[in-house]
Amino acid sequence: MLEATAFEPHLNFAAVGLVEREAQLGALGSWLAEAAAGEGRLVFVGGEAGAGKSALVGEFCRSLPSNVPLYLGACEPLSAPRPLGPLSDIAPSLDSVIVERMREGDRSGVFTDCLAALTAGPVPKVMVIEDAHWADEATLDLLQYLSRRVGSTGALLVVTYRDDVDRTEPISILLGDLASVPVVRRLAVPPLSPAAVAELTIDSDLDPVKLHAETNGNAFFVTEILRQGSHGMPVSVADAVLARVRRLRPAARETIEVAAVIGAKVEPAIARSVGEIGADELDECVANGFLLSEGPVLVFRHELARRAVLESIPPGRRSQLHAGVLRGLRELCGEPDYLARLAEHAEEAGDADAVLEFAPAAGDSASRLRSHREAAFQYARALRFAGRLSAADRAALLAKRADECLLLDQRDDAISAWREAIVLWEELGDRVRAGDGWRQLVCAYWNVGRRADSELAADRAVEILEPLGPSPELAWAYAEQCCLNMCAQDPAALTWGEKALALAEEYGPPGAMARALQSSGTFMAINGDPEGEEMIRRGLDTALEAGLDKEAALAYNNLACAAWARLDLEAAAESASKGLQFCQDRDIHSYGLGNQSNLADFSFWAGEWDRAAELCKPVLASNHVSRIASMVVLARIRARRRDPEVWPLLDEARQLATGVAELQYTALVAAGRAEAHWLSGNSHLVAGEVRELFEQAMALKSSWHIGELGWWMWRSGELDDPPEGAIRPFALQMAGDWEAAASEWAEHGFPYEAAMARLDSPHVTDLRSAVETFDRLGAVAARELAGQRLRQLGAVVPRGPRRSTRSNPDGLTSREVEVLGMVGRGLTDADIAKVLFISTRTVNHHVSSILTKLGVSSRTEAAEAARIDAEV
Amino acid sequence: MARYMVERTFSDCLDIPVNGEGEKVCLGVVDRNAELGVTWIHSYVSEDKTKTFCVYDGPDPEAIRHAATVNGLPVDSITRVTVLDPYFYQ
Repeated sequence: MLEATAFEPHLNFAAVGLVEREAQLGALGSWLAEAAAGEGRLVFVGGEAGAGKSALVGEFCRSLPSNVPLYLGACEPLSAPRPLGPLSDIAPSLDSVIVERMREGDRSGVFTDCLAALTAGPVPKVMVIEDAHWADEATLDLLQYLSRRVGSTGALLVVTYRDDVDRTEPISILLGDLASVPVVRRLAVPPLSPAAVAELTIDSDLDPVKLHAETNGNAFFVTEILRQGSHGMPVSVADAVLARVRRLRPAARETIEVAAVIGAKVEPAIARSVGEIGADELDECVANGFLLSEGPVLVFRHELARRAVLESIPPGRRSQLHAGVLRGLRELCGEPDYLARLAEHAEEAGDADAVLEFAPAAGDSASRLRSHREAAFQYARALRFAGRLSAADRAALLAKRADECLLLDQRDDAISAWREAIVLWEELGDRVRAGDGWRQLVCAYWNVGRRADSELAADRAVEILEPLGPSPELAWAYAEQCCLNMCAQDPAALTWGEKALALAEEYGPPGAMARALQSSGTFMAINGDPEGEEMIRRGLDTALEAGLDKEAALAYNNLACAAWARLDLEAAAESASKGLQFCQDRDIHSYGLGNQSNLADFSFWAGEWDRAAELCKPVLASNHVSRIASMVVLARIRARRRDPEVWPLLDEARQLATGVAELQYTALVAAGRAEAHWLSGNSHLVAGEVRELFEQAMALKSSWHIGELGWWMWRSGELDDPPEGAIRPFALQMAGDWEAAASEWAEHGFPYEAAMARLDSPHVTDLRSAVETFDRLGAVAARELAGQRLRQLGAVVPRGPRRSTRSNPDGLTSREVEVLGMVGRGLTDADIAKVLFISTRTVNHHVSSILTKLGVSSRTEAAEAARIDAEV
Repeated sequence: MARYMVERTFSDCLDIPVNGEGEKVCLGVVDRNAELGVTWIHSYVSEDKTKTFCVYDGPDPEAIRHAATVNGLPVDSITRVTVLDPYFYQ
């Protein structure tokens, strides 16, 4: 067993002084002072590989007073790193209870205890996490968690990362997410200037201009060449490193190769177990500046050097060395901490038995800590070597991989894993598992918009499971049928729901119970049965009690739909927000997409277009079926603002909606396309978009769609009177009662629709009021139409909106600025609610959003901020 | 990354002095844009300095609007554009 690694600041680059980094050191110093004053900071130090990020941070750590507690952790360059790797470096010295929590796989315990340890005791504290571009998913989640909370601690968190990685890399996505978090700071480590290179070359005979040009000022490259002395100018970092390796004695050269295979951290004991390596050889590598001593282990001076050495080893020998390292690691350590490394060496050595021994275990360990990316990778790695496993074991591995892929929003991979598993179960004659596999596919297919496949899977599940008699699996299959029929607004949903509930009560899978309750309830609610909502709530309670996150997320979604059906925009938005928050708290973002897309939709109708557009973006980046709704919302916002890129969204949305073939999506897309045509002056194309779907909405008695699509038919002159079953405000408009329609829309909180209703008024004052609303919303297209109407009436068209004279650097919406002003004047939420004609609950939402954006924790501080703002 | 032409109207005339102060104003805009992935390429200013036609690179129209809000700049219209070069066909 290896000793726990004691981490001390590693003082790299000691031999070559740090140049041109005064500004960065100064910035780190001032953030440390802020942390000492109880305003913790999370600093991301970015630069290209070899820019000298570690050297900078090392110098900063060395300059710290000795009484400042310092915790150092590093991410490892593995294809699937161990979950919470850097924290396992830090935990033993931070708080041993965290080590326990990690062993137990208690992820939320790990997060809260880590925060508690950073909060307790003397301030400031410094925690460094190196090389976050290699971080596992759980580590990135930890950083996200800490970013929201470190502000009220005395801790300075310093995270180094390579900024030359792709924008789609997890670290880049995290940085994007954290861009508006107030305590986060970015620090760039740029390449060295020619002057700095000249300073470094003072004692050598190298030409500084040429050296700078060859290295582009890359600090590591420069120092590698300086170490080499005047032996010609290598063309790449790898050449520079290898030129120096060739000058080592053969035994030391072999040692450095073994070390490169072992990894970024080299345990001398393992190195010795691989070859004829003694203390002398290791010392030679240290003396020549390839390796640095860091507590009981050796580390490469830079990953660039390790890469260069590793890639110079011929493949056959490399795989032999991996086998040797695997043997050494296996003998010398058995901790779960090493599973990820064991699995990696096993694969590199081509040792199938070892891969099958370690990769699934590494996957399980990652899955427990919700490092889903790493878990999915490890299962896939095991599956590459699964030829010799029994069919049952292979199917079980496939099912595990499918679960992780679903959580990662990699639904296509999940589907193919399930399909493969089902084939195996069918061959084995395991009909229960095969039937249940088909049942799992129902949701997976539906979520990527493949309704026809989803229906087939649902039928197949029932077909296989029904003859086997009542079972929990059959209860689930019925519940999925219920859900699928509900989505198509087919009354068969209720029959399936009853069957599912009867079985679920007896055989008790709470998931099937929750799903049947909420699906039946939703069907009832959207058809106007007030008891439906109560059923959805029972479904939600069942899910929460049983800890079924996915079902609970879905139930919030369904509650929002039920509220929407009675045009209660505020209650709908509240359910969607709750669902989204629920998913964010549990890091199950993929289940939150439906709620997020709903919330975008509700914000759109409420006239909060900036917020709606922002909410749409992550949904659009996924392949979840809700993408259709978010595409339509974004397209409608763009069309209303006269912004470009409307039709690519609407065309793709129509294509996707055709695949789903449910009115809830097809009608949505049709309404969006009708509006976009109408606003761009192509009113003759409107009816063609909606005619057919209007008939379908009539057949399904879907009141919102009858209303909205009917209204477009009415606008196009294809309808004279309101159709039966149309939702009220639209029906009033079609009946010519624009005044009642406008006031109902306003009452329900639909400002744009209220103004649109006023466009039908013959009075100048109503049109002017519509213009005001359009100006406030930025509805450029509708404003032009209102202007035309005013001119027809011979009235003067008001001038355009005045430009906002002040920028809003905190990113508050105009509504939030309004609320903040009132908070500043000492108004309570209830007072503000009265003034703005909104509920206290909504005011409360605005206030908490303001606090987050301003990075303050109380109304008093926010009021103070408002005063300062007003004075500027 | 798409290219956009953003038209703006300044009722009080645009007045950026040609000195250090002006440089600060412009570089401030550049820095704030960078955080949103938006790049200001250059602008054409009408003779009476009340209208500007600004060429931007950005991920989408919302980012262009967001950048305008953050910088306190007005937006009349955003048009997605591509380059047409008269000598391309020679």
